[in-house]
Amino acid sequence: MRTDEYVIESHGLTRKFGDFTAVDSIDLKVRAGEIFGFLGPNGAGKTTTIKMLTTLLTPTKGEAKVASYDLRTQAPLIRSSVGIVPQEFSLFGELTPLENLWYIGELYGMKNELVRKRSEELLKTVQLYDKRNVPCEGFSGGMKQRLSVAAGLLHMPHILFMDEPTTGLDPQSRIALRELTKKLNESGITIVYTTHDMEEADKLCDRIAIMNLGRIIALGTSAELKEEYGGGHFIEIVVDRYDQTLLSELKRMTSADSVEVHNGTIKLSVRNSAGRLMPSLSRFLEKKGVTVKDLRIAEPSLEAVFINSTKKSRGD
Amino acid sequence: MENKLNNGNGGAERLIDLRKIRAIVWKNWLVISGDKIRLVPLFIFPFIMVILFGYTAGTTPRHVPAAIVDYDNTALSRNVQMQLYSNELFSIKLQVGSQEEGKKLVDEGQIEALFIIPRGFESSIQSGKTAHLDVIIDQSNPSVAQITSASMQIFVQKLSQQLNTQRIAVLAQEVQQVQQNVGRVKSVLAVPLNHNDQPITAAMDANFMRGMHIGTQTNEMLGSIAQQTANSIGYPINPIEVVNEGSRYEGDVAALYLLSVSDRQQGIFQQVETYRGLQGSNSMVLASLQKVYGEAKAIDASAEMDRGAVKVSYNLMDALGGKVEHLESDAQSIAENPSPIVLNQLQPYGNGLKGLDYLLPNILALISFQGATMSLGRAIAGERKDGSLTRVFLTPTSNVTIIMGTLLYYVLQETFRTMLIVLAAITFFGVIVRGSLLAILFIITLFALGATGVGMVISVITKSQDQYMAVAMLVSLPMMFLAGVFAPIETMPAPLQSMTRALPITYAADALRGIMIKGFTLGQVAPDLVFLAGFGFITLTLSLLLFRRELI
Repeated sequence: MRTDEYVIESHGLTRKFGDFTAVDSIDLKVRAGEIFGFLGPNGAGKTTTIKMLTTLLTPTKGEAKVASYDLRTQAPLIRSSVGIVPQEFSLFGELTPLENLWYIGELYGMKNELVRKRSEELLKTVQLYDKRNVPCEGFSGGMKQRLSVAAGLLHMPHILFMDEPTTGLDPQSRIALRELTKKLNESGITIVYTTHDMEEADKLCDRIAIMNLGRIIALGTSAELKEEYGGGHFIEIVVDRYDQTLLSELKRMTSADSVEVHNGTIKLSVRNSAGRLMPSLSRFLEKKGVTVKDLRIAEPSLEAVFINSTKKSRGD
Repeated sequence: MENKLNNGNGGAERLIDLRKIRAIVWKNWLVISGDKIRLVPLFIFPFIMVILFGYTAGTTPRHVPAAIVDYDNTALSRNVQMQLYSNELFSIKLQVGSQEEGKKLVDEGQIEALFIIPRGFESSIQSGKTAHLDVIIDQSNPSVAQITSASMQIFVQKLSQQLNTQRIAVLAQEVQQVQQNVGRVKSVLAVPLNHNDQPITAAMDANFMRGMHIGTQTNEMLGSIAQQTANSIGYPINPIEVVNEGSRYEGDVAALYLLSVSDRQQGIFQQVETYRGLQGSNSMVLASLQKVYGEAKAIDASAEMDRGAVKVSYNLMDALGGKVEHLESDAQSIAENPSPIVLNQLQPYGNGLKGLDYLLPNILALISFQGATMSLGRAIAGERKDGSLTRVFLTPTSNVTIIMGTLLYYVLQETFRTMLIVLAAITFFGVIVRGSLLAILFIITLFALGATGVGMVISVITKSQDQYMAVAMLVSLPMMFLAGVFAPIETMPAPLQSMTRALPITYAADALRGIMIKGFTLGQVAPDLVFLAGFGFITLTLSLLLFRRELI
């Protein structure tokens, strides 16, 4: 699969619930083989978008192609081509992993042989093979989520939608699930991943769409987003002493947008060429007789991107 | 890429996919059988119902407190009193002077039954007429009232049999007398006679013919009575028949019937025996008559007869003929009136409760309906809430397949549970089902389809089990009271009564009653079945129309 092929394309995709517009005219292209992230606060419309793309909800307006099938006219074919790991554990607690997978396989109309083979493979992949005959009621959150991933992959979909899969998991399970997601992606599956965890999106996703109030307000790779919305770079300085005069002199010298102090760290927000400023900064501080303990350039965080982009979308 | 997507990702979506329906059925069973705390009550419930039903309503209460008013005060009425005292169905607390006084005791709840022996009780029995034994039963406890009424029927029936036996014994005595007279004729005729008297012999001929005719008729009649009586044990007697015999009132239970049948059979055997004995005696009389006549003829032919002796034998034969005639009329009166006493239940409260046999079909229909409407919360609403329906929606499985698979499972479950009740009622409480079990299975399945359909409609319009229960309660609680199980439909106010006529449960109960009690075939309850099929079709269609695939 070449990376410039699009497996999802949407135009003006909209969903209203009564007067409320949950998803407002989304245009989207997801490339084959990438991990595409939807980042946004709760209620931004991420889940609604995913539900529409997986045929669980009918769009009010707009159109989309998923796995080259039309969302409105070829829903059953889309269902056969996509897998989903929903937010809530959507399997039967009374059933064992093998029974759950058997049932799903039957509903996909898969051959029994294939279901058996796939189930064993997948349960090994998600490290639940030992528990294959234990009712999953007693499983931990991480185990349930891993089983959910296995269920989503049973019919060998080309696209896997994961709707906030790490929410509510402990750090170790989060890391394990993230690793699993990467591994699956490396095996060629396109992954659409929603999260409100910025760090997670930053680490995992090739491209990120930031959503707020039903719209995509920014879209690009992590680096692109930071470049555009990160509000430049920061220079962080830790010194043994400082005063107001020093701070204002620093601001003037570097023509920084702002100077802030957090826990003894002076934070200068500069638009660009932070690297070029470093030698002169170092000399200036030496001349002032201040001992420099630390001097570094900080990357803008996705958090800043998020805050700036949402501000911008509201027209601030 | 397109080709690749089309391959290997499972089959296409079909409207009705039998394999998926089977998978949904099996999944539901796995889910329920995986949850023991739900499973056990589900299948223990029918047994609890049957045991409660069996022990609270199905058995014979003993020592029902009662009182007697005896307006007749004769040997026979005192005999009836004695029988009442010694019967363990009733415990006679006291004798009262008047019906009013007794009724007050019933009203106060001191006694539950009042027996009234009316004036002229003995004389009507003696004159071969039917006498009434009146009873007032406390109706405040319907099940006790029903059982007491049924017990009374059996008691009176036994009493009637006793009286019949006594009358037959009297008849047998008379037969003996005839036989003695025949002996006397023989001894008189033993003396050789020499006279010849034409007019006398002609009269003797005529008398003989008359005697023979009457005797033969009596013989035939006794034979046929004996045969009829014997035949009556030849086929299974149902409780309704037992009770209905000689009474206009319905109401009895299988248990009581079982209790009574041996007594009744014994009574019938006794009766048959007596009739056969009677017939034997009569035949002997006839044979003797023939023999005497033959001898007389021989003497007459020899023209050596003694006229005086012939006269004596003529007189004796005349008397004999009279006896045979008397015997015939007695036998006739027994045959015409096999129940000299009839129970007459006075109903000062104007109540006509039906028997429990009438209730069992209603109970079955109610349990089936309750089970179906109460258990479908998990089916769609619950799965919608917990997200497991999402999985199904993500597969190429049509709404029709989802609904049909889910319905099928619950129809099977409810049918199985209800059949368990039928079988338990038969096994543990001897309930007699006259029609075929397969027909019952068919009706229950058909009704369960509609009832589950109601649950399905509620399940598809609600979004959680809690919501489901709230709506299901609204539907199933009124049904409980309109099903005629806890209160008879006949006692309901008219608007409610016509409401029950619009309820499918009424038709299910009616069809079941037809099969179970009347021994009908499915064809005979076809109108009910058509209604039930329509009910099933409507609920199924509604649940399909209302089923929303969207998950919000």
